[in-house]
Amino acid sequence: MRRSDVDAAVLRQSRFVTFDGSLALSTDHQRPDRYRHLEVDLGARKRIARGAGLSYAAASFGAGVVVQEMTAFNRLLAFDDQNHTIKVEGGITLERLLAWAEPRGLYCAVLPGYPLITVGGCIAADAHGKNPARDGTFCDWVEAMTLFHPRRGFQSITRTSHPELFGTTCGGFGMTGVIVDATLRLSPLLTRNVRVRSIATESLAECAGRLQQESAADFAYSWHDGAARGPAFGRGVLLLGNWTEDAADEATGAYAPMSSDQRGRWPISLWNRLTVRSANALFRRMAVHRPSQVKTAFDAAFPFARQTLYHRFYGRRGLAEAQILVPDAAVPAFIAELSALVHMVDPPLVMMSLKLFQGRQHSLSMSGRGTLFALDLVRCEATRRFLDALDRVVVSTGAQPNIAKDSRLGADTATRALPFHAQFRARLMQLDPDRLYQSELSQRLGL
Amino acid sequence: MTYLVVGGSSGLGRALAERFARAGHPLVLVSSDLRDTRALAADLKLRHQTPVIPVVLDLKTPSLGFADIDSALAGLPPLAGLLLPAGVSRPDDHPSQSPDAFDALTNANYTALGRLIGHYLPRLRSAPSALIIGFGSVAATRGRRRNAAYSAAKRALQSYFESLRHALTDSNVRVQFYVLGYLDTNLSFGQRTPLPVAAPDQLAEVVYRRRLVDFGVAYYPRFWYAVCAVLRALPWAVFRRLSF
Repeated sequence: MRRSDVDAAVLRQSRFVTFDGSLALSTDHQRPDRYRHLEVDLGARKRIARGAGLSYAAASFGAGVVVQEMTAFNRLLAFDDQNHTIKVEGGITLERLLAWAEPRGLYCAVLPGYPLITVGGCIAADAHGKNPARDGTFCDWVEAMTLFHPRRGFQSITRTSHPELFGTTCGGFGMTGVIVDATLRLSPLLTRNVRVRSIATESLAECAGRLQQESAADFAYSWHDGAARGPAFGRGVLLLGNWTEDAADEATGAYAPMSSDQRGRWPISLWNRLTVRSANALFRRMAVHRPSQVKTAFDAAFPFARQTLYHRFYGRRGLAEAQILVPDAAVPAFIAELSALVHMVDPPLVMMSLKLFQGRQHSLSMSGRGTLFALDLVRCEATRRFLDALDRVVVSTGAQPNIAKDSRLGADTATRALPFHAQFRARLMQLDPDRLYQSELSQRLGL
Repeated sequence: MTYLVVGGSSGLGRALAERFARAGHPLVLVSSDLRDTRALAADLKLRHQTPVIPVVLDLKTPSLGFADIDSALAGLPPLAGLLLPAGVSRPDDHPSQSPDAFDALTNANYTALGRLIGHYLPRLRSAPSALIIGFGSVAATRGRRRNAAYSAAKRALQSYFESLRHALTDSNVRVQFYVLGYLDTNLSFGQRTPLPVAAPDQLAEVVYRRRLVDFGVAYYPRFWYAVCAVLRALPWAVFRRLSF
């Protein structure tokens, strides 16, 4: 145990790893469980808040940075029955929040893909759910927050009381301070299950077009075969979900939570040409064979919670994900260039996914309307070459990368591709002039 | 039946509060920082629909008043038990520490708890069935150069609980004392513990399940009973060389 003075932070050295397995390092780790622990003077030490640590990129740790794990701050604080708003501490997981909300007929309209992601993490990354075009992003549903910064102490803020600080915190990846609590607007939960329809599609373009037609669905996204080449490139399945009163097809029990560290335990990657081709073929066959099934709200919102093999298969080497928001007008050109690049480099692409997207924040999160392309690849040299080339396509088509997913994205691409990067940087220099809140992600992006 | 949880803001205190609230018991939570207990009280009320009232009280101070706790208890069902997981330690707790620091540790870990028990004992005696649970530490097994005042206070508390149990042997008040090994709390975070840390919520479950059992003293985890027996039996010539 190390303490620099009597009431100083209790720190220990811990090892942190990104979910994609690209970066692991040891650094000082603080695990506050009382409010006064947040106020402990860390001097000029760089620090960053951490929730579940499931970000693909190193958004919650960095070399020489004190990681302030907020998981003990996971309580419900206040509920407004009239307006359906719930105030929660930032370290609460979506699972814990939903366990309280669902029996009361309430739900979060925006849920990213894993139940252990924290509310603070959702705000910091401005996470999105299964139909961002309709529901927006997580921060669209945040009414207020309490932030802690050593210079300002605990500060309660809203979009109207502190527009600049609020806007910089939403999608600000923790760089404005610790999100101590947040007030969220919940949606009515009319039913407990989701009917998911699977529709086979033959190309990315076809799927993107179908998504535009089905934009009113409660859940709308696609999966595409990463192994397919030639005319079959981009074939996939469109997955459309709507709330239903029908009973779920399968009874499901508890799931086994998986951390970033656990994801990369297997020493080798089991994704190779054969397994990728086989898995994708099996998935498509199953989807086509069962074009309609009823899932619980949990399984529909968190499809990978009970299916951890997909991510474990990447092994210790890890995966690389690129998630790119392409403006509507640029989608055909992007698909053409993506296809050309895939065929030229032939990277170990496992799967792709599309969603329609709308982001309204003006920070580091994706902003504007378009189609969100996600590509999952096995981490290797060919993937690096492919993604470096894809960066040029991103910039040339006016697309935006999701910095929470791409752990190798550099400052040059970020500066050119993120529309509010320069304004964010300027605001950050005013809000945190000593740049106390940093991570490997912020340092890599020149922030 | 209402329970008073002293030291209820984090770690074991929080775990106990959550377990007893989950069982539907109204609670009064006492800690030195209202922010923590207010947050916990709000959470427990929202999740379990049971009344939980936070009260601030700094056990380190020599003059203690229980008026705020009495006021909180007044609106709740009768008091049925005291859960006393409170504990304070300092890294500079050695025999040459300042008098103020020594007093603060002794108050927080022993004196204040004894006074609190004395204040609420009449109320507990008149209850049909009541419970007083204290928590000590394996650190009190034998005096070391570190945690001098803390260990002494915890040892005094254990002795006090033995006396309490003896005095209340023919009453409706059950007295239990847990001697705790390493718990996964902020206290042990950062320590290189030679033996495994136990989870507070698992201990809270054990405490709740055994609340009706008249066992006196128990070690948690149980293997610490043997470890402490060995430590006590070590000859001075060996013990003086240990650094832990």
